[in-house]
Amino acid sequence: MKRHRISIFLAKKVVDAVITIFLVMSILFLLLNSIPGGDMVTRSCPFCGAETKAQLRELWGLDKPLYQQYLVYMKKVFTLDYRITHNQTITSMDELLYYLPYTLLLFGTAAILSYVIGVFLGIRLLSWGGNRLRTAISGISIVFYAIPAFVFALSFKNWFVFGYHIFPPVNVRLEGPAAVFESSILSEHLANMWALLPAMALPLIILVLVGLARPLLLLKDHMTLLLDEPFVLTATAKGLARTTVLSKHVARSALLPLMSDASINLAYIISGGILIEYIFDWPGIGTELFAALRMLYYPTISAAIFLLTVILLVSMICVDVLNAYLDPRVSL
Amino acid sequence: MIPHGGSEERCTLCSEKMKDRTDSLYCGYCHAVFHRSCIIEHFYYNRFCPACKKKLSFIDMRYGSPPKPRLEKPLRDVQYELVNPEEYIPRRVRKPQWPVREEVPLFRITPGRAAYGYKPRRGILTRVHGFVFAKPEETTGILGRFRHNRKGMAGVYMLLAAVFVAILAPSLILYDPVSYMVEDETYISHPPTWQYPMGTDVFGRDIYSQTIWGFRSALTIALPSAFLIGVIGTVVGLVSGYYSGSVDAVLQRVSLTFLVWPSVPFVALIVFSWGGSMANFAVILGVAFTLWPTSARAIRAEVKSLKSRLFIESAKVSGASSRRVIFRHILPNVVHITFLYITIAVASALALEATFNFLGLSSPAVITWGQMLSFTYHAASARFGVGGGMAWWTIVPPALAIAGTVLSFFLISTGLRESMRVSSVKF
Repeated sequence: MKRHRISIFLAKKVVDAVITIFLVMSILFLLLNSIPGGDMVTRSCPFCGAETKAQLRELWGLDKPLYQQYLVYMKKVFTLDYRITHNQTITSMDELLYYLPYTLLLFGTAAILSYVIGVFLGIRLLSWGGNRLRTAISGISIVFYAIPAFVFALSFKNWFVFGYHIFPPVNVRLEGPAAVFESSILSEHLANMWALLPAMALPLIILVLVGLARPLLLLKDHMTLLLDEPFVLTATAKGLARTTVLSKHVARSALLPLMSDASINLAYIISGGILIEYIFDWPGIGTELFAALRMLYYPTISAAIFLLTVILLVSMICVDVLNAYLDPRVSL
Repeated sequence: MIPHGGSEERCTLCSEKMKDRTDSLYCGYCHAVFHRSCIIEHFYYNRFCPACKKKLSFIDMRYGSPPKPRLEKPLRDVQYELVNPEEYIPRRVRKPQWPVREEVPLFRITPGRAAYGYKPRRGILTRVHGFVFAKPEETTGILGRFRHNRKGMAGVYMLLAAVFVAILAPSLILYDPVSYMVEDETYISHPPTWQYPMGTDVFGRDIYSQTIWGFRSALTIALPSAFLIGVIGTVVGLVSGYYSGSVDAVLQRVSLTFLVWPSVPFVALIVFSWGGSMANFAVILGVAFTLWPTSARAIRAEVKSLKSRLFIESAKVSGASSRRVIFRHILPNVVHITFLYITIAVASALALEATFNFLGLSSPAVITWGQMLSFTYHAASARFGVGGGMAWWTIVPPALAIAGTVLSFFLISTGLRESMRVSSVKF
């Protein structure tokens, strides 16, 4: 019965996600169209001849009325077709897909680590520590939550990478995608990742520190709310120690709202994380996106926004399924 | 033991009556009463109590008259208490407690960080914590409890300081933050001196003046965008929580869309497309667009729980239109959540504004903290390699200013959240 329900739940979520991607890309179309200074073709090759421009405009449907331009754009988005000329072999989507594993490596590790550490550390410290420790935890996490991540990234990079040489900088030059599919691509990715691991330490530390704050604060908040509940009184009346009551009874029930909040936190981690990628020169989607934003290269911008949205929606669906699995109150 | 003389106490040494209460001392062991002058004279020569001959000194004597003895009455003599409530004599002699528990003191005097109901240690100097008008636990209303919240009030004071600095900025700065550049080349990118209290940046501009001026631009961006966030979030949350069904579904999708849009590129594209002359407005709009979904979701959840309450039902039954129900009956009950999310939104808006100022998306003629960081970052990148070799005095003041301002709003929001719920347990 439950498996049957899960498939319906998943189908609903996927339809939701597709609608959301559609809306996101529509807004992107609106924004890109309202940027002054000519259309995409004028921006990408301003000194091309009239014939070339006409060909490009035909490919992207830019010579048609606006609603048809929109339809062509949407078709291109959903068919993953980001060619700028007919005979282009490596499109922006290929390039971004090549960098996708590195982004996933950084963000995935950061998200999982910050939640695992946040939950375990939070339960330990909040239930076994004293009052003073609790205040210190909430104070530190408020500070980390309040200060924008890029300030940390900037100063940490300045002092720990350049000043004292504690962490190595990213010194791996990736080759980029090949025109023809090669079977050695996986081993190439693995070798690159292995070479990038030492440089991943500092951005990972910053992302984890920033991502840790929200679970810790929320855990403390929900634990405070739950302390008034009757089941705490029952547990205390049974003669359990205060630490046992806190860690085994209160903290565990406070974890559930933490899970449902994770999907929003993921959005913050990713939108803060792409800037950290840019600052640390991490070969990922964020760096590519900012490089493209700088010169307004539309195909890469669209592809990057599309990919980031997909990543976020997929991880949100994962979190929702996990939440439904863990929380008996959530009906599928 | 020396018998008590009732109300007419006499000095054990000179057998004279006591004049007043301050004049008398008594022995803590035998409860014999003495004149102050008599007992001082006695202890000048001796080291024992004149009545019970116990080895004592003057400091063991107690002031006042001895406690009245317990009358030999049977236990649970309810009759006695009921008949003569005026002459009720306590069974046990209790140690006097100060301040009296039933009264609210003018000052809260605590040893260290103890809670309100405490037992002061004798003779230890205690701290005075300002005026106390009522017990914080019994204070009614969110604002009343907020007044006693340390975090929240700290945030308010920090915010007030920031606003004062922003208002007084023209008289606080030492040099023009935008156009002034040092003429002496040795003072370009110079560490703090008396002449330039926070040093100078790569162009030779005074960092202190820039930091002070940054308060203005930060607050003028953050406050309007937070207001917009509050308005959009509240309206969308109210509508989508009240009308479940298709309206709710559409609004939920829209809010999910804005939630998953990566915020920095979104604001960047808005600034690119509507930037130029109204760059500031574009920034405000962009920040508001990216941050409203969280507040809308929270308000929607609250409205959903309010919708099934009786007063909404009665309003509907009495013929109120749904617009009236939403704005007259539900809105006042969720407005505190709006304020909470506005304060959180200001913090996020400040951080976001700093972020894309760092990316160089706003006018270089407007000094902001993010822009200061951007200048030092890119100048150092050009000179020493990407992101390296930045001078500490170019990073620390703007970073601290961002941190402080964001933190003030965040503390206010924490205080508000803590004072919104009435919890008997301190954690």
